Amino acid sequence: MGSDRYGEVQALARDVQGLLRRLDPKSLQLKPNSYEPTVGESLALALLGLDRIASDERIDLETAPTFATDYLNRRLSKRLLERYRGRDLPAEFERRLADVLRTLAKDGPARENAPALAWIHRFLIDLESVLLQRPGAID
Amino acid sequence: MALSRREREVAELVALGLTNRAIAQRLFLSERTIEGHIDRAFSKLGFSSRTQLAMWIGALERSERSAESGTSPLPAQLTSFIGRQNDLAALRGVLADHRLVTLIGPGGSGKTRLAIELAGGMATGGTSAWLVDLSSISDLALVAQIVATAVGATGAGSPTDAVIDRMRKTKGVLVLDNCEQVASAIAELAERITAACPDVALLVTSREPIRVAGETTWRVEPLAVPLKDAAAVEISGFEAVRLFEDRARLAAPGFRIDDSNVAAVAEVCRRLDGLPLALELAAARVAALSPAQIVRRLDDRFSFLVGGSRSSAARHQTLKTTLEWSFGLLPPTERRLFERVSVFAGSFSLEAVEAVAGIEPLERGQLVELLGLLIDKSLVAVTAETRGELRYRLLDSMRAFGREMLSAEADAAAIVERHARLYSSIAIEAGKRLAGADAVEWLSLVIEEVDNLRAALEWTIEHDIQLALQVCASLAGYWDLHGWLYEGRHWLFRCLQADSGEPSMQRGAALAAAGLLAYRQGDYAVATTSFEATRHVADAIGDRALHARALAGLGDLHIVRSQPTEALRCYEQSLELYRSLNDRPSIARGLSRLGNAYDNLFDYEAEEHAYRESLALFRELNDRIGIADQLFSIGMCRMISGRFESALPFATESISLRTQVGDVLGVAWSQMIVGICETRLGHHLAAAHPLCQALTGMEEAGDGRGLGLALDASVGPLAMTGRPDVALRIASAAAQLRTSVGYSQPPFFGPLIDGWVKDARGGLSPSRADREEILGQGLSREEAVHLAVKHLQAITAEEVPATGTALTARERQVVALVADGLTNREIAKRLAISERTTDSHLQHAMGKLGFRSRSQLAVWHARGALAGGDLKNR
Repeated sequence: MGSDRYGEVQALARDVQGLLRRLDPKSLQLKPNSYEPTVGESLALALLGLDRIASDERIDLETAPTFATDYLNRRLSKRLLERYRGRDLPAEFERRLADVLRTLAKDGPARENAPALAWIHRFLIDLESVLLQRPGAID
Repeated sequence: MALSRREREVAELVALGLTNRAIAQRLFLSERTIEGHIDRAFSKLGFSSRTQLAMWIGALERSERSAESGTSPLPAQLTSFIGRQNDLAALRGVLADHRLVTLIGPGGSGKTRLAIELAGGMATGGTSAWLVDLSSISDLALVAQIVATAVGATGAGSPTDAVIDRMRKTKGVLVLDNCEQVASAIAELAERITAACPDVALLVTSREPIRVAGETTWRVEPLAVPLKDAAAVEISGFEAVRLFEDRARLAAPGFRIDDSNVAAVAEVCRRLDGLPLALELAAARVAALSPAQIVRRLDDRFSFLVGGSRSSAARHQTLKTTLEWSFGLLPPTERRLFERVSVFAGSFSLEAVEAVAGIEPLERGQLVELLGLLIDKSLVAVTAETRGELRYRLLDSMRAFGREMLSAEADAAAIVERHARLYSSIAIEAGKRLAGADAVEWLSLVIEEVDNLRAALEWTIEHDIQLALQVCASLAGYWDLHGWLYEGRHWLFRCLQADSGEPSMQRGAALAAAGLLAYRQGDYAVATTSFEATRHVADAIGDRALHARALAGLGDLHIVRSQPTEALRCYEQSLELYRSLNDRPSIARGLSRLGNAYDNLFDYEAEEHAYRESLALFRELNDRIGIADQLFSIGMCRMISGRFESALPFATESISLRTQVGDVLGVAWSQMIVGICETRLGHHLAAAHPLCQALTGMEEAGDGRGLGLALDASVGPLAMTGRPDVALRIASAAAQLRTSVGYSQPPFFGPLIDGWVKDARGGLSPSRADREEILGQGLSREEAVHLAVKHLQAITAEEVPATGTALTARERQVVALVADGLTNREIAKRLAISERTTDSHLQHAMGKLGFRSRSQLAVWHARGALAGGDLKNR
C-alpha cells in the first residue's frame, strides 16, 4: 500500500469525522431538491461501500454509465437508510470507516488495497463536499 | 344580438370557405354588400375574423340539429351504453353534492359518452340538459358565444351574461364537452354560472382538470379487462369484452363470443388496455377478420385502428388522430418528456425517468413537475405504490404513439440506449446482490422491472452482445429462483447464438447460466454441453471462478445420473478453487453441494455436517436464500435417513423462508419433503395438501424432474387411502416422465415408491393392476398432474374436521398465520405476543382439532374450515 495515499486518506477521514461531529441530526433528512440525495442517504451509501470493501467484494460500478450508477446509488442508499432507521448513522459510519482503515493498514502494502483506498478517498471527498455545501448541515 | 336572415346566410357561406366574390356571385349581390353583412355580423357577435365566424356557425348548426331531434338538446346515441354502471351511480351522487364535476381521462376513454348518459338520465321532470361540444374551438374568445348559442341564450350584452340570464331561470345540467384546449375560458364561465345559477350543475369533460374553485374531478378509467389467466367463463363478463362484442355485432350481426374466440377477444381487450375508442375501432373489423387475426394486426395498431363511424368527431375517426389531438395540445417540454417516457415498457419509477429522460433539452430538476403535468393530462397513469414510491405507466396505445413520435426526434436512439443501459446496469447489480443480505429486495425489484429488463435485453442483443450476455448471466439466478426457466433459456439461447463464440468472461458466464437453467428443466444433455463449454472458456481466459462454476454444474449432472463419486470429485475441486479465491458465498454453496454428494453416497453424517457448515456461513452472510436451501437440505437428509419427525421443522422453516423470498420452485421442493415425511408418519391428510402444492409448483416452474418425483411422492397417500388404481396410474406416469426427461430416481425414492406400488397392486387383481399401469403410461404430463391433484384434494375433503368454532379468536389467528407459512417467531412478532404464548395457542388448536402437525392445520385452513369465522377480519 502506498503510505502516502494511506496518509492522505487518513487525513481526509479525520476532516470528515470532524464535520460529522458537527452535523445537525435534523439535516440528515433534508432534501435539497427532488433528485440529490439527503446527507443521510449519502452516509448510507458510503456505509455500503465500506461493507463491500470489508467483504472483499469488487467495486466495479465504474463499468456502468454515470446516470445508471447514480440511479443505483440512489436506490441502494434509500434502501440502506431504511435498514439503518433509528440508528446513529454518523457514529456508525465513523466506527466502520475506522475499522476498514485499520484492516487496510494491517494488510500492509498489498497492491490490491490500492483500488479500495482510491474508492474511500473519492467518497470521502464527495461526502465532505455534501456536508459543506448543504445549507444547515453543519452548525 | 341575433343576426339578420341575410347576415346568417352570408355567415354560412363564409363557413363553407367561400371568398366575398364567390358569395356575392352566389347571392347576386355586390362584394361591397357582402362586406357590409360580414362587418355587421362581426360587430354583433364581437368577432374579428372569418375563422371565428365559421366556428360559431358550426356550433349553431349542431345545436339546431340537436334541438330538432327532440326535446333534449343532447344528441341521440346510435349505440348502446355498455358498463360503467358504478361510475354512473357514483357520479349521480357526486353531482348532487357538487355542482361542478370534471370528467378527466385519456382521449378515447369514453368521457363524452359517460357525460351524455349521465346528463340524459337526469333530464327528466323539469330538469333540462344541454351539451356543448367545444372540440373544434381553440379561440378562447369564442367559448362564451358558442355556449350561449348552444343553450339558446340570445339576450343583449355579453355572451356570458346571456348564458347566465338563460340559466338562472332554469333547473338543469350543462355538459361542456372537450374543454382541454379552452380550459381557462371554461373555468371563467363555470365560475360565473355556479355563482349565479343555483339550480344548474356543470359537467365538464376534459383531459385535465380546468382548475377552478369548487371543481370536483372524476377520472374516467379505461374499461376493466380480463387478466391473462382469467377463466373463459369469466371473460365475457368484463366491460371491455361486452363493449367489443356489442360493437362487433354492429359490424357483423352474427358475431358472438364462444370457446373458439374468447381468448383472442380477451387478448384484444388487454392489448388495447380497455380503451373504448380503440375497442370500437377494432370491433368494427370483425366483419372481415377474426379476433385472432385482429390480435396479430395490433402491433401496427395505428394503421389498423382507423375508420370510425362517420358520425364521430374527426379526432375520433382513428386511434392515431385521437392521440395526435392530445399530443398537439402539449407544450414542447411536455411533448419531449411524453416521447421519452414511451421507452419504458410496463411501469417505471420517477428515478428511472430522471436517469433516462434527464438530458437536454430537458433538465433533470424539471422532470417531476413535467411528469405531474402529463399525469394531469391523462397521458401518464399512476399505477401502484411500492415501498413508498409511486410507479407510473403509459397505456399501450399511448406508448406506441409516443415511440412513433420519439422516432422522429434526433435523440431517439440516445434515449433508447440510455434506457437499455440503465436496465442492463440494474440487472448486473441485481446479479451481484442475489447472494447477499438484500437478495429479497433485489428479487422484488427484478420482478417489478421485468418488462423494462426484457426491453433492455432486446436492445443489447442487437447493439452490444457482450453486455447482453452479461445481463442474461446476471438475471439467470432470478429466472431460476422465480421459476422463469423457459424465458431465461430463451434469452440465453438468443444471446449465445448472436455472439461470435470467441472466449470471453461474458460468454463463459452466459454458458454457465444456460447450463444451470437447462439442468433445472431436466434438459441434461444441453446442461452438460453448456457446462463443458463453460470449462473450455474458463481455461481459455484463465478464469478460476468460472472454472469452479463449471465443475459445480458438472457435479450436479453426475448427481442426477447417479454418479455420486464423480460428483464428489467435481465438487471438491470446485470448492478448492473457491477457497483459493476466498469467495465466501461460493464456498457456502460449494459446501452445500458437497453435502449433496455425501447424500448420494449414503454418508448422512458427513452430509449433515457439510450442510450445517454451509448454513453457518450463509447465516454469517445473512443470505436468506442460502439459509432456506440448507434448512431444506438438512430436512431432506433427515428424511432420507428415516428421521421423519425431526425433518419436519427444517422443511417447514425452509417453506416459510422460501415463501418470503418468492422462491416458487424451492417451496414446491420443500412441500414435497413435508408430504413424504407426513406420509411416512402415517398422516395422509397432512401429506395430501403439501403434495398438491408441490405438484402445481413444479408444473408452474416447468421442473420436469421435480414433477416426476412429486408424482412419485403422491403414490403413497393415494395407495394408503383406498385409491390403488389411481396410485398405480400415477406411479406409471412418473416412470414415463423419468424416461422422457432422463433422470434416475434418488436412491431413497426407489424402495419407497416400490413399497407403495406393491401395496397398491395388492389392492387390485393382477390384470386390473396391469391395466391401470398401462393407462398411466398413456397419460400426458398435464393429465397425470391433474389426476393426482384431484385425488389428493379428495383425501383432504374426506378427512378434514368440519368446524373450527371450538377455537378461540386468537387460536384462529395463529392457525391462519401458520397456514401462511409463518414460523412461531414470526407469528409472535406479527401478533405482538411471546413465542411461548404462540406455541401454547398452537398446541391448544391442534389438541382441539386432533391434529399433530402444522401441515394438517394448514390444510384444514386452506379448505376453508374457518370460513365465516373471525379470520375474515384478521
